[in-house]
Amino acid sequence: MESIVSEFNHQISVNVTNDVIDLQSVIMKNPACTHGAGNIFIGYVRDLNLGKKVVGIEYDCYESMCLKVFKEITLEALVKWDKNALVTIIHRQGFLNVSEVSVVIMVTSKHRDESYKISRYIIEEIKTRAPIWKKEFYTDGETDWVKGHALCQHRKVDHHESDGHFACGGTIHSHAKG
Amino acid sequence: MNPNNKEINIQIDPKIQIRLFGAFRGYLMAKENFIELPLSNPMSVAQVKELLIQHLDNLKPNENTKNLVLDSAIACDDQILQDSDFVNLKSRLSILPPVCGG
Repeated sequence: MESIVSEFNHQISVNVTNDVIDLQSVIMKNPACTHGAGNIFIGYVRDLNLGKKVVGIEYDCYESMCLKVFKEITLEALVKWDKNALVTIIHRQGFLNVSEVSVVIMVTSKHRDESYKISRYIIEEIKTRAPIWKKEFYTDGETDWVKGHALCQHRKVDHHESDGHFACGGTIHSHAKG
Repeated sequence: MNPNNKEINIQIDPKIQIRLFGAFRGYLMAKENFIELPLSNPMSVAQVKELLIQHLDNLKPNENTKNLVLDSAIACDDQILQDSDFVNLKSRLSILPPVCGG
């Protein structure tokens, strides 16, 4: 895996940061001259989760493993859809207020179809594989760690609630069994 | 020095450090992020989890501790381990509860 990752190193940029994400600099990164499409996904902190009013989220990240997982996910997407695509992933850690940007995924590729698919794949995989956790802060002063997806193999438990959405704006999605 | 004396290195109370993430941080004081468990060499990941459950229950009794630990993964140097894997004093471990990034 490491030798394959190194082959695509110049196409993949990943980061975990405590700083506000500079969207302008992400968008203005030059695509390859063969690329006709650019696609950016932006995740924000939402003010409502499972019926509770959220004032902010604290993101906890296992940084070194995050970067490794981001690269692995990106590599899978490139191999599947466009080996020449360029991808940037930036995820925040620390405390974020409502409407702050928590994650950015920028993809440039030859055609738009691949850019949409690569972007979608990356965000969905980040949600279930990246070692990132969220502690929500509510208007009533309470806090709670958001339930999530188990990483351990023998207990693949999806701790989704029965309805609602994650405060980051992501929607609850089903997982294929088996 | 008496040539009949031999130096013997004994590790008293060997312990292994485990870095905590996510909901596990709630068991510790604000700026702490790891705990130490007594290690009996060799120890499987499953045994580490059992010890962790006991230790966390002593720190802060909570009916959800056992399930949280069992739903979590143990990682060593950015690599997730299976319950049947073995660890030693040199292993740099982390416990990773169910994730929810993005």
